[in-house]
Amino acid sequence: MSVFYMPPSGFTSTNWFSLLWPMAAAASFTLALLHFRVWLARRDERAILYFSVSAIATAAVSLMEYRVSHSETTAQYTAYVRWTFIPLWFQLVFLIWFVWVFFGTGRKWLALSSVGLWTLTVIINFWPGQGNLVYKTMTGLRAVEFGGENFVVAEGVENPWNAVNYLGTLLMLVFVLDASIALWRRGGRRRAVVVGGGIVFFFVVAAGHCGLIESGHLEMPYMIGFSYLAIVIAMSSELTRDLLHAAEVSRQLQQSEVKAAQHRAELAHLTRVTTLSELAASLAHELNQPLTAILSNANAAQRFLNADPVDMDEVRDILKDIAEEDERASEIISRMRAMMKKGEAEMKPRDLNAKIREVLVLLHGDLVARNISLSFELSPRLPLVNGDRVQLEQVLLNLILNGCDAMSVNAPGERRLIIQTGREGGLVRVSVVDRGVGLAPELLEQIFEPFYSTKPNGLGLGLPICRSIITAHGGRLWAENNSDCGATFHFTLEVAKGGPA
Amino acid sequence: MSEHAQLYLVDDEPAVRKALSRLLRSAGYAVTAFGSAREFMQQQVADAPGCLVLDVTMPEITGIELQEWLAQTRSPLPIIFITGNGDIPTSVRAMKAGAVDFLTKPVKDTDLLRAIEIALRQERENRQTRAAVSAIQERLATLTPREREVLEHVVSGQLNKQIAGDLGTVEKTIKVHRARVMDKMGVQSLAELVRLAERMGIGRATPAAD
Repeated sequence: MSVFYMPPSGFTSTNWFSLLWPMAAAASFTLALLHFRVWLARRDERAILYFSVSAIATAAVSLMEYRVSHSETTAQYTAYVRWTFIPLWFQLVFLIWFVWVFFGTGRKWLALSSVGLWTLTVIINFWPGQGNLVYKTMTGLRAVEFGGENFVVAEGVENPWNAVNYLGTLLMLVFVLDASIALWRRGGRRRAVVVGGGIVFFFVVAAGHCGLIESGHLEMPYMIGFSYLAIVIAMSSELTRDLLHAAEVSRQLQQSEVKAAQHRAELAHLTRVTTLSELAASLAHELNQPLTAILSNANAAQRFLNADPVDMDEVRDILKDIAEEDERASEIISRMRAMMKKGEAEMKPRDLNAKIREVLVLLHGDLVARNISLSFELSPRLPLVNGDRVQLEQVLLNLILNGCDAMSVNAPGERRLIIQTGREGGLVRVSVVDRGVGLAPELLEQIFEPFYSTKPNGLGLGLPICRSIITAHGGRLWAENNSDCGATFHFTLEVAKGGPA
Repeated sequence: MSEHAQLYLVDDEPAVRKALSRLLRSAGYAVTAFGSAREFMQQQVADAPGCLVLDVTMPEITGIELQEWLAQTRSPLPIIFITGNGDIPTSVRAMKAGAVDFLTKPVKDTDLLRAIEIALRQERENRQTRAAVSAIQERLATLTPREREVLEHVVSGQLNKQIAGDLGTVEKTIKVHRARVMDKMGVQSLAELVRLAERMGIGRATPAAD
């Protein structure tokens, strides 16, 4: 069976009225195609697919009924009516599925009964010697004029089985009505009225229209397709509304994500600056060391140059040391500057072992002042991870400083901090192990909440920021107590793509 | 500049240690450098002219703690502190405990070398004083108990007659004792003897007269 419009034989003059059917079919078909295209991009939205099938069936119904009304013989009429029931079946069944999925409610038994009765009548429709479902036997065709065009209407004995078909349609309407009421009660009022109400209203119109034609009370061609088109339009408008709404929501979500990222970056910067200001004294001390070495070296060189003979080897050595110490000072300054910087995150493959060493440039003075001995258990072949340099360093800095703070009550010899790196499954793991007092079990999660701090003058932002940084990097940050003493903070990050597996 | 002085340097920062010992060497001193207070404590410090250049902030044992330890071991070594973050309480504490100077890093060579000179001069004077005191002590040790009694009475200003009365003997005997004390202590006059005894803290309290 072709769903494409073919002008019936004997079609000579074009009348505007006769164009209505193909136009209705084209409208349904266009909507079907548009939604099908959308469904291809959103396969999980089954309602769109069901709508498309139902709309194609509606287009087919429009074309078929046009042909029925232009039949030349009773045999042709019977055959056309028979085949019309195929798109009708599809239209109805997919309409039921559509409502079921789109409303998210409905009584299954009603839906199944309706589909069952319809399937039964379609089979009867094709049963040999039955004529078709509408007319058991046809006695003749009668030409009528409608809208300036010639049509035929059938005369014959009505098929009593058609009542089963009407019952199936009635059950479908009850199903839709029931589902609409349920949806209305749940707050989906608009959808219930537009789709549910539309389906019920136009099906009643279509059924009444059919009944009047078949009982001979109305002498006009079948125009069910137009009612169905109205239903298709109602369904489509709600679907489109949904799609537009989803697009708007996703746009808003994207915007709020961008905003959240901005806020996170600002807050991260704020906590970085706070951390650095806390480190200011030890950083000044740390900078003072190379400056001291440079000054003393320069003074020594001046004296050596005044000696006779001049020990050039010694002077050369001194100049080399001065250059080295200057580099050391600039390294500290550039680390500080990077941490103070307020810039866009730059996601690149990074070596976490190297990040740890770089953070220690900033921390060395503080660790010495606090009498903390640091040991490393770094995996030599650590895969690279994707991340922003400053943010990763901030997390490391924070975790190390927290570990130091946790051990401030320990005797100087007991302040040992261990930094471990390794692989865990397909992830890279960093752990900062302290020998402090550990954490009460309820604190293991609480410490990651904003403004919660165990320190007397803590801001309570360090760990929440660390967690949000790691989460934004697609990783996980958590704390646990060690079996003997102290706590360990772990974080995992995914291995950067393209790096060594 | 004292060519024979032995300087000790304790700083945990290798680059600073290297640069400072270089500077001290360039000024003509012999320098022994240590990376920690513990290293220094394990070292036998020679009893020779010298001083200690000591960093305050160090892991494990701080410079101030090392100063306390040296005081406990009655070390005569003068100390010059150098520090990265010279806070006032620490410097006051260090100076009260006898440090020669408390210098802030980065330290100017002139400041450091002047401080070292002062320290070495102080040390030299202390050494001389100590030498003098021990010489007197050696002499004091040669006196007999009776001579020691006579010395105490003499420096408290008593006449021979009074002393003889106090000690239950005759003036002549006291005269002999007194001459022997002068001789053994190597002094010519009474004034000299009194000064010497004062230095040793003898004869401050006048013996009880009855």
